[in-house]
Amino acid sequence: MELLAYPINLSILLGSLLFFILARFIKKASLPLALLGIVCLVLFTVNSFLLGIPHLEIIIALTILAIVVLLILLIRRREEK
Amino acid sequence: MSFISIPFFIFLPVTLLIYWLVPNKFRWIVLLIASYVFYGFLNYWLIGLILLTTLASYLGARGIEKFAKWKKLFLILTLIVCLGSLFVFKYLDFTLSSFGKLFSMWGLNVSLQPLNLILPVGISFYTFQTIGYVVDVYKGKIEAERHIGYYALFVSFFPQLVAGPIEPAAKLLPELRKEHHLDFDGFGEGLKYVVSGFIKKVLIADFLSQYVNFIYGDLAIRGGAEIILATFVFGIVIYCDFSGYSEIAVGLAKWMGIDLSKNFDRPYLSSSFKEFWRRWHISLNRFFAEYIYIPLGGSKKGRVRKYLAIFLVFLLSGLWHGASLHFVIWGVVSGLFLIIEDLLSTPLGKIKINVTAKRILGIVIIYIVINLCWIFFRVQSIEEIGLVFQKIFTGFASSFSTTFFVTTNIIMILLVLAVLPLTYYLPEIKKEGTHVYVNVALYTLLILIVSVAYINNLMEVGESSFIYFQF
Repeated sequence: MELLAYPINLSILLGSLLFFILARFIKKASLPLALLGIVCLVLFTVNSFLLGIPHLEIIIALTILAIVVLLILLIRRREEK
Repeated sequence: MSFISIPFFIFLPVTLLIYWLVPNKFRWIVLLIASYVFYGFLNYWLIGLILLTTLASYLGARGIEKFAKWKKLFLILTLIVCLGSLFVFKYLDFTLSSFGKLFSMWGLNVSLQPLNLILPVGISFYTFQTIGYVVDVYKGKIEAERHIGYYALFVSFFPQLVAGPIEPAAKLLPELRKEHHLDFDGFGEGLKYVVSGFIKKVLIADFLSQYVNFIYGDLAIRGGAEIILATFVFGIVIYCDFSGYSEIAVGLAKWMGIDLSKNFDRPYLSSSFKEFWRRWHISLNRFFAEYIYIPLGGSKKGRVRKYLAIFLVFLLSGLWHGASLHFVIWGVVSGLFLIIEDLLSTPLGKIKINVTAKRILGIVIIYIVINLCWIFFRVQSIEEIGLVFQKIFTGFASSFSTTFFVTTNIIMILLVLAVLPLTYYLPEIKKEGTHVYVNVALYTLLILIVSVAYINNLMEVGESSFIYFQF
């Protein structure tokens, strides 16, 4: 997979995941952390396009992240119940 | 115009902006003009056809209410106009070719040339919606709408115009008439449906349909096993394509402050055929139940009448989906399964089995049978049905193409299969507590995925369409 050939780009994506997880746990700073995560996401997507990474690989990376975030939200929902 | 076409992404924000800027009493005008632009964008003469149906049903309903003595006549006349235009554009060629074949079988040399008329998009949906309205007025369930503008909007409301949900007048007309306020909660709620719909269509259906088209595109060289696999994949494609469209429609309407009905309710988790048809294309099945099954006696006039009614409903449902024998066979087979299930319900009910195990077993069996029925739906002709079954029974492992299963695609398939159950929960995530920002982040992420997938589809296979547009 071509995506793995660009570690800095990949770390931006992992960074956004980290920000989302922190936003979920640090209640007082959840807005700025979530915003930072979104900025990282956009940066990763634009950068991947510029690097010429195949679209399908970008979709795969973003989808894995979406599944993780969705699961975090669903687990949270269950906790609240 | 399709929800996934580039012009729509210009049309929608412009419409929404004007809609919320004008005072409430003029909003119906904005929506009506937008709906006709949306519909006429495909072919401008389609507007003439929808206007004919609108005018005929409006006048018919007013006539039914005003001249009680002649109400049956008004009903029949309206049905002739509405069903007549549906018949001419959708079924005339099919009827001509069927009669042509019949005559040639009898040795008669009668030339019946098909007219090759273009099938107006969404004609089956808005015709049924208007019929429902006129029949409701006839039965006295609702009053005839006096304002022709609101009525025209009821027929042509663009989010649900071309592929439903088919809304009852008693629900949609008051929704269109009520005062709408710009509500950010409602907007967020709509966004969930729109994003979920786009994920289903652009990410899942469009990606997986490549495999289905690849296999079904040349059945003669395929093996039975891969045809069955492609059929099960088609089961996911058709669900994601159609429920995706319905969710986008519901979401768009919410952005205008209007509530539309749910059209799908996790149908593949049904443990009986009866349950499946209550959860699949809910608005159409409700229409058939209300206007055909119940008037024919429903379940109250004995078993024979009940089964005849079920058979007729499913025969019509098949025919509604398309003027082709394979759709009719699909409808008949689906109806027969429902009848068999009903016949077996008493002896099977006596078997003592754990409730959870029974439910899981039911879900698995219904999933397999419903998916195998999609063979009749997906093929292009009746000849292909024969070919498929020949391949399944005589050439099960004769070929298995692995061209599609490159590494990237396999990861994608696994992800798609993981995303599908999660989309079930997407519209349910509530705006609660502080993790609302994580919610926002999730939706940004999903919008990014949809955008990349959309660009990818445009570049790889061009602009796609929704399966139910052909009905």
